[in-house]
Amino acid sequence: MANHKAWAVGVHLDETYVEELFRARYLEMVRLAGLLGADDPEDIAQEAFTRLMNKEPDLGDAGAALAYLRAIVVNLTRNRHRHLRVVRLRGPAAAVPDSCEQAVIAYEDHQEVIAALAALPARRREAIVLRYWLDLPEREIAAVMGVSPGTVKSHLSRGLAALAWTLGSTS
Amino acid sequence: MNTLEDRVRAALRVRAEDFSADPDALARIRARAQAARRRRGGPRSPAVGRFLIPAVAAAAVVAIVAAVTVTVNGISGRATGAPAASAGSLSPTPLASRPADGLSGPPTPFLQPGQGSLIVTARPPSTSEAGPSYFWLGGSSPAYSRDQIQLCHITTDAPGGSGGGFCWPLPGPPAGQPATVTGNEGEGVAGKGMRMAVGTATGQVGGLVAVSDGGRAYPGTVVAGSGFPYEAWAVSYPASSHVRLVFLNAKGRLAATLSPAGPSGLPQTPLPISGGVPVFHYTPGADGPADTTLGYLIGGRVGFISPLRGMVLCELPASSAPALGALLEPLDNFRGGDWQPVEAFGYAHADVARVVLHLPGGRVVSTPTFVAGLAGSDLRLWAVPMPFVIRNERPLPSVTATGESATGQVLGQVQLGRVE
Repeated sequence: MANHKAWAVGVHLDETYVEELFRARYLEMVRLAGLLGADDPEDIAQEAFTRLMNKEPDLGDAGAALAYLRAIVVNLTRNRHRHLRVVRLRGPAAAVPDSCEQAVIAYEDHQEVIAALAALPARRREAIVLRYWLDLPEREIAAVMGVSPGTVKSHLSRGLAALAWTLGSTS
Repeated sequence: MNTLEDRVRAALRVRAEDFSADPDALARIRARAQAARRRRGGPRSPAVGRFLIPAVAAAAVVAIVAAVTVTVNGISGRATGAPAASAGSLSPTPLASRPADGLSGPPTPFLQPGQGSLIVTARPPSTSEAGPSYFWLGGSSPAYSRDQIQLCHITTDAPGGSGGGFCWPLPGPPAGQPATVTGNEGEGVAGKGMRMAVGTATGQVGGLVAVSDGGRAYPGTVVAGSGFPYEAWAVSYPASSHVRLVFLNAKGRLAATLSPAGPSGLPQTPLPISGGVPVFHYTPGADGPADTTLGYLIGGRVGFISPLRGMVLCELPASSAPALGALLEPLDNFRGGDWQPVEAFGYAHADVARVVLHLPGGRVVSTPTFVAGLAGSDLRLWAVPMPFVIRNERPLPSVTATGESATGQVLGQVQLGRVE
């Protein structure tokens, strides 16, 4: 899924650069926020780019701007999730699309997995989304989450164990 | 390949397709960036830590205001009361003393939640599935300046016993403008099917109304907190309506017209609040700095607010049955990179002298209640650290709280709920 394009070293955050990054990564940031449970993923993504646009002009090294964006999205979503989780849990279930039986079965399995993910503590959900949706290595996940790679391993392991338990008990 | 991992990847891939991008997003980002620069008075924001989120970083260094007695707008807060926990791995220090990094000096102008500076007292009636929601003006620093004013919010949950809250930055209007929009929230704050715009205005604004394209008017509220250099306003309107905000001066004449669009709330860790009753003190350590959880009476419900750990508001009015209310793990207990032992907080009616907690495995923990001294109330409060950590266990630990009189008579019993 992830396109790990290497950005220029010594990135200067003029608006042209941010716009290039926007075109390449905006949808990814919206989806990242959405998968992490944000109630308004677009707003999170827009705020992340806004902060990037207003940041000091030199982010230092390749990929730093992208990592910075991801970290903002993860943190903003975590904060919002902490306070708005009740609303999200009560949100109406998406309608099952008309489809063949196999598609419906697959859809229901996805729904179960997404629901189980939503029930995980925020940091475990973050680790799993970053690992299994963005395909980030543990080192990059650690940078985005602001924790050590060892902590990432722990979140992934415990998150998967919790998912296995939840999905096992509901299937 | 692990089957579970395959399922997770597939589910995430499919779910991601549900989210699309607004074609006008870049224009919105440019506008937000420009607005942020204007508010900061310069072309660039100050440097922040490379991968730190400003809100989190600010919260980490924010000074703690607690245990001070203040009177603002006739609302007084006090600083007494010392619950004595009888067991647990976290030991509350005597709360008659101030936290180690508490602040000295004059009382701050922060206002009590739910009172004095109240902007919105409840969600719109159409959102009856949730409890009331309260908003008040607060500050992020005892130094108190224009850039540190916050609009804080706390709401209840439906059955389960608690909700949450956070604060928005609330900068004043740019020079020469009578009003500005500082935030626009969806139904998480405004209620089902609603949006709520918030912002600030100069003293020349006397009122506002959101007017839909069809001409329907939704009146807003404008308040001026004591000691605050400008006014704060809020207005709720149906999310399906396209509205414009019309600001009127004191004579009812047009002062400004604005779009309700604004940055959605950038939730920050709850910030120092004046008044309140110290309930639980966290000593500084590897899991975080010192912090004090304060108890408040907000619209008849008891709320607990920790500057660093979150806010929670009990679902039931405190004066109603049962004779006690209890929350397990009410605040954020993920600190220092790991889950920390949880706490239980609660209130009790005047005749409840002791709360006994029956824990898993047959363990029993008890703690005396103490007179809160909340204005107009004889409620008592209590807090006790739990000797366990809640990670992701299902089912949750079963904890029952029993309120007893001084003679040991059981006056009420509740099952503790968890906020997560």
